[in-house]
Amino acid sequence: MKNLLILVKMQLKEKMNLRSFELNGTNLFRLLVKAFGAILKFALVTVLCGAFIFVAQYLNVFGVTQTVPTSVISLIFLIMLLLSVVSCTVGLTKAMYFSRDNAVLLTLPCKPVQVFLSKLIIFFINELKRNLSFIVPLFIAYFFTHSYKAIYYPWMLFCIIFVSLFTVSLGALLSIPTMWIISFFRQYKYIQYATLVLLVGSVAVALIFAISLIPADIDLLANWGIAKQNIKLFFNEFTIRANILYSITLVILGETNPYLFIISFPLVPTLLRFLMLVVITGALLAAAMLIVMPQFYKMASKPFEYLKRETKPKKNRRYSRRVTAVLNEFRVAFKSPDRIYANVGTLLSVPILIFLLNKIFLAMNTKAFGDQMVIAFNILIMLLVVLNMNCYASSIFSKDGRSSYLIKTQPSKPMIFLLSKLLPNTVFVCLSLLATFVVIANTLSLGVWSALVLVCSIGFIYLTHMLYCAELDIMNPQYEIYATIGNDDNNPNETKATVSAFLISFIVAVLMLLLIVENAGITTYLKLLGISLALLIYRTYLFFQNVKLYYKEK
Amino acid sequence: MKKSVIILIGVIYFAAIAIVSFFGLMPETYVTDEKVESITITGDKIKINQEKNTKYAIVRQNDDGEWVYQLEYTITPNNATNAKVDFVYEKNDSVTVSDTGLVTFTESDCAIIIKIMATDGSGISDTITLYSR
Repeated sequence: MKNLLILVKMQLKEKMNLRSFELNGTNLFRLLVKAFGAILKFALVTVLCGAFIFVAQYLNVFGVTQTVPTSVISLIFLIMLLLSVVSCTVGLTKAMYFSRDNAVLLTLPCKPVQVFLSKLIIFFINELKRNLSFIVPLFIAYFFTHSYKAIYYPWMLFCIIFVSLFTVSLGALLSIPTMWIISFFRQYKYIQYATLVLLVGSVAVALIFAISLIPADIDLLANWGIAKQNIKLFFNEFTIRANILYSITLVILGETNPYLFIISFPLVPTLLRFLMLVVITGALLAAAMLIVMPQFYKMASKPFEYLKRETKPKKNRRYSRRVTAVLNEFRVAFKSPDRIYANVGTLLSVPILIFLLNKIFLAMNTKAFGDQMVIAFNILIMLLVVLNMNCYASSIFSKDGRSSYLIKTQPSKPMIFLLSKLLPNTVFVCLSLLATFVVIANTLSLGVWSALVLVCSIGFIYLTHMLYCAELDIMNPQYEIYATIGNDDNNPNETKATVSAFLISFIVAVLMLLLIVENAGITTYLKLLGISLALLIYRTYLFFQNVKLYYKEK
Repeated sequence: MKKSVIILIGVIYFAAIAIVSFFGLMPETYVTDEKVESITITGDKIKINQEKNTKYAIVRQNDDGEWVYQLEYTITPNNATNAKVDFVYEKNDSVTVSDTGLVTFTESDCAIIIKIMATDGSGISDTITLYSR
């Protein structure tokens, strides 16, 4: 037991910063501030959930009477549960099968089963923490607004423990097929890429199809009765089709006594459901111990070096320095799954967000000022998303850690390597803006040329901001932090990049609104194009000058 | 992108929709429709069946050898927005009912139940049974 506790504490230190929880003179104040902050955050989330439930009750959105039926909370809870299961599955797969720490952990003076259990306990604690941030405040808000008896509050906390255990156990079991899929894709890269393209394409098509279903004319006030009826039908259907999953929520929420019309505790069905939850969780945990644990030992004791497949030797093709640098960066961009997801997110997010936004605006009967606001908000959202992607550029050179010094020592101009690092992200953003241009030309009343000029202006602003963020990283590098820890949540360059992104987005949006109100023609957009181009030229000149100075080029 | 930045952008996104909804919409002009409150079948030949409390009329053969009856009715209020009515009846080979309410029997000893129904969605109606003799 002692060894298990030590293992858990050791692994928790990696995931969470437990140093602040050690009580000593200097830390006590910080600990109190942290605790107060956590309580405040909890209270804020509870109040927000309560406000949502209160407004829904007041507007009588979901229920026949002024209540929010249990099916609504159940749907929210089940979506969160599903996301938790997915997150747990992915996390456990990485931690149990692909983490290199496992080989080290197994050499420690403890039983192998304790190592396995310690991993599950870490995820269980993580799951509890996550549930405490949102699920518990949601239920507390629901209990408060629906006058539940006091006993339901501790009962809910007790049930959340078992729900967290259920999530982790299910995640552990699902980690086995997930591990097989990941191993398969690691061996066959082209199938991985093809699957990714297919998946991303399907998601994009599905989203576009769903958004295009929004009717051209929504009059919510006039059709409120029909909308309410459809909402009620949906939730009725949900309770019928997802009966088993709905039962999990009823364990926590209890049932209304049909004779007394009050929520009495504990009714026999509630206790039976709770017992079923405990039995299922126990069965999943037992299955995890029987099936997952042997697999964990097998993967942990397998050295990764010998898993490499034999590849056919290829002829070494010689490219120019520029092409080599660019090809290298594109290979890195497509190598790491995190980078792939980030780039795909970059590609899809802006056009889909703008499409959805404009579809909603098109369904409204806007006046002239409303149309002008729509254009301004389009500019604002586009800039906010696109410019905040430059946070990556503000730490792009530092992320190489101590290898960044190689740029100085390479026998070629550093500008080639610096600019080639920025190229992959730029390509994805440009493709994204191209798609956004198509969306805007079809959904806004701008006209093709105005839309083209607008998108080009946003592209120039993006490039200007990107060079600014890259320069921040060159002039104020954070190499040592990334070299040692590998991640820096408090990078001052990233903070500056984020703040400047928000400032620039709001300033440009407000400026454009004022200009469009005066003249909504193409000349307004040409003015923006001129200003953004001038800023880009100036920023590019500054960037080149500063890099020359920094690298002391002649 | 950090999680807090994504959440902030999301908040601004929804705020944009809310702001345009509040400040950017065309003002609505609400027109209140005057619904039909009652339809009453009128005419000299109308009689009331006391047992069933229903209206009926006997249509006699005219000089041209036809059994013809013009349905008459009154709609209240006078200023109903949509005063159009439908003549609802079960199709019969011996009887025709025109859009203006002109009922024509082709033979004697026929009967037809006709409902005069409002078309403004109020569901108001009145019913009469016509017999040809």
